[in-house]
Amino acid sequence: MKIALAGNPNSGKTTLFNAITGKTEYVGNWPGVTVEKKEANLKRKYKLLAGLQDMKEAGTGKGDGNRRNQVRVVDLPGAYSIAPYTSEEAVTRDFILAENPDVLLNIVDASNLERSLFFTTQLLELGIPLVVALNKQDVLKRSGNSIQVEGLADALGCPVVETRANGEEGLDELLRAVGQAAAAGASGNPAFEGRGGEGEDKKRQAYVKGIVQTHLQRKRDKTRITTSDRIDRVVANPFLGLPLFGLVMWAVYAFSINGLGGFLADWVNGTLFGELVPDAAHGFFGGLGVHPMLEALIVDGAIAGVGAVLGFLPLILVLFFCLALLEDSGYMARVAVVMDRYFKKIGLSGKSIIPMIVGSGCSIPGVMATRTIEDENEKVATTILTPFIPCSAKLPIIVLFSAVFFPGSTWILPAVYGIAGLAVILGGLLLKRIFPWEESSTFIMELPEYKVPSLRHAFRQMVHQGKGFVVKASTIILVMNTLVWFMQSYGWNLQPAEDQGASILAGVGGLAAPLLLPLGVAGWQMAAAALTGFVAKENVVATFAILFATVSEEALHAPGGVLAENFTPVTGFAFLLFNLFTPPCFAAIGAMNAELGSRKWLARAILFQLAAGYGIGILAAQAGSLLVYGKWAPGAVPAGLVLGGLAALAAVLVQRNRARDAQNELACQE
Amino acid sequence: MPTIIIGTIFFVLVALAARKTYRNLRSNTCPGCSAGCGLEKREKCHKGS
Repeated sequence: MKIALAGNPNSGKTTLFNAITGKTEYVGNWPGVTVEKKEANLKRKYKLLAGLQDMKEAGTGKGDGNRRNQVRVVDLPGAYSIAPYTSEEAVTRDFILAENPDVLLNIVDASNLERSLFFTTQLLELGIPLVVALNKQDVLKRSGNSIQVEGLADALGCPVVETRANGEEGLDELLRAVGQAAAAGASGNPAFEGRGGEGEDKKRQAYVKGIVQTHLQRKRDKTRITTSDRIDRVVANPFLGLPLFGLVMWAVYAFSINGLGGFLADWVNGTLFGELVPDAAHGFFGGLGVHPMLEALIVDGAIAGVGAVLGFLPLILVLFFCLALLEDSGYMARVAVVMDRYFKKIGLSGKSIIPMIVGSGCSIPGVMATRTIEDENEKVATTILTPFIPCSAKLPIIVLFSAVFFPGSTWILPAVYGIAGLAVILGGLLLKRIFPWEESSTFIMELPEYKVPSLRHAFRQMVHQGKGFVVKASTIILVMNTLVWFMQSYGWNLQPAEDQGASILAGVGGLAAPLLLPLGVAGWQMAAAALTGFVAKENVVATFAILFATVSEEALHAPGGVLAENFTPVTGFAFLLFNLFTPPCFAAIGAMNAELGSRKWLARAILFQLAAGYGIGILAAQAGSLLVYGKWAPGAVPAGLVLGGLAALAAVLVQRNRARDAQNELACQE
Repeated sequence: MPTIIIGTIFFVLVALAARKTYRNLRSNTCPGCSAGCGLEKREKCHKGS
């Protein structure tokens, strides 16, 4: 049996989905967070309440008992209409029409009834049993309005239940109604009669308006200035909005990295994975008499590498807890509005900021969130630029370099995000001039009401991010660390290497090392770390841990530690930027491939990111060294050649695009 | 003997981690990430279109 959750964007579908399935899928207080359908089993408690257990057991016969007992809940991307406008709306339409769910659970934003019921009346016409969850009751009550639920149910011809998904209120009654609807097998009784006729949408809108006027009692004067409006005057102000956003993010990062998160991370890195775990592991394996080679692989390879990454878990948890609070309050939706006027100038729109904010957690959902962008140019540019925003996988690199070269500073992380913002702006401008481009589209976004953020929601989001981080460390990072340890311990003859310099890793890293010379960085270890970072960015830190932290984990993180022997603060910062802006991990490149839908565009995207990361790194190394030390960094000549080459390439591409534009214009005139 | 037992356990764990990583990368996501290429697009992704 399948229950499909459908409704307008930001009506609370995923919150309800999480509540009735026990999942912790990503939820955001803005439209367009869910771009793919998600499935999970209905919680047993709700299955019993809905009486769905018995019904299914009474179902068919042999062999399919277990599957038949499952009640699958499907969370669909938000849609305003059954006729899709964006690709994620098409996912919803296709699922409902092709998969024919047993019950449709239509989540309606009670604080925005008129807009929501348009879709409801279309769903009712499909002949699928339908139950309306009148969600966001708290927002409705705060607005002073009220809805006559029974009257609305009669008008629609289907059950209507009041819910508040984020407080898990009204869910028992809702699932009972779902059970009854499934048993009855009856669809609603749509009273709208203008279907299929000319001007259907307008007639439907008028029909919905009539229902709303009858059943919604407005107590609030629409022209009255609300508290949300007053806050918006400051927060979404065209001039104050951006500096305020900078200030808020600085406070969040300072608290996460230098405050509570940093304090906990120091303990996990220094004490837990620096002393306690390795000592216990050495004691355990030594006591058992395990071969020293295997002991070294597990302790110095797997545990050191995975530990170096897991050491940043507290910091990630605190950061995402704070970001979830900001999102849930409705503040991040305002950031999209503030950014719109700046993004418009570079050929993007405020809609592009949503993938970028989502991408600050992980580039993959960030890249996927570009599906909400209708304009093809904007979508392509946002897909290419979103990985510039440092994701959680890049945080360990930033924090490590910050701790070693700029201990105690609170400006490194905000500075890195500032440079990322600048890279997005300059990248957007360049893309607009290199490739054929139309004007940017208009950005319209419905702003959610401000609300006191839910601690429970923030906690769940934090756990969700933390779980992802741990799973990644125990899979892809573990595999890579095992491989890196093997490659740095063995030579090409597959015999243990006498020293690291004779190892396979030194050979591979040595091939790529000359490419880092323009960054003022020498040494195969740095090249090896950067190469492993292309698989997953956390690997940069893990590889350093395996290669350098041979004495202790602490030595890697200590200010002026082993890393300081290979970098100056400026070239360290340049190497950091190089790793942040070069192409993201393999998985994110796969997501880019899926979203761009063209190998040609994927190749262009990767080359653009490579050039951007390389160019930014070189500029930071050479210009930074000149400013700070009064001399160029090592590798100034190749740096000049590379930068000159990149500038010439950009100029040629811009010129070619101009010529193409002129030709098109001429063709139009003729 | 302890070396064989511990080694077997370790390499089985690494093999499982590699299998999960490979399967995730095939569907354009990474282990631990709740996003990635969904069911609808997986076939398309695998064809590399």
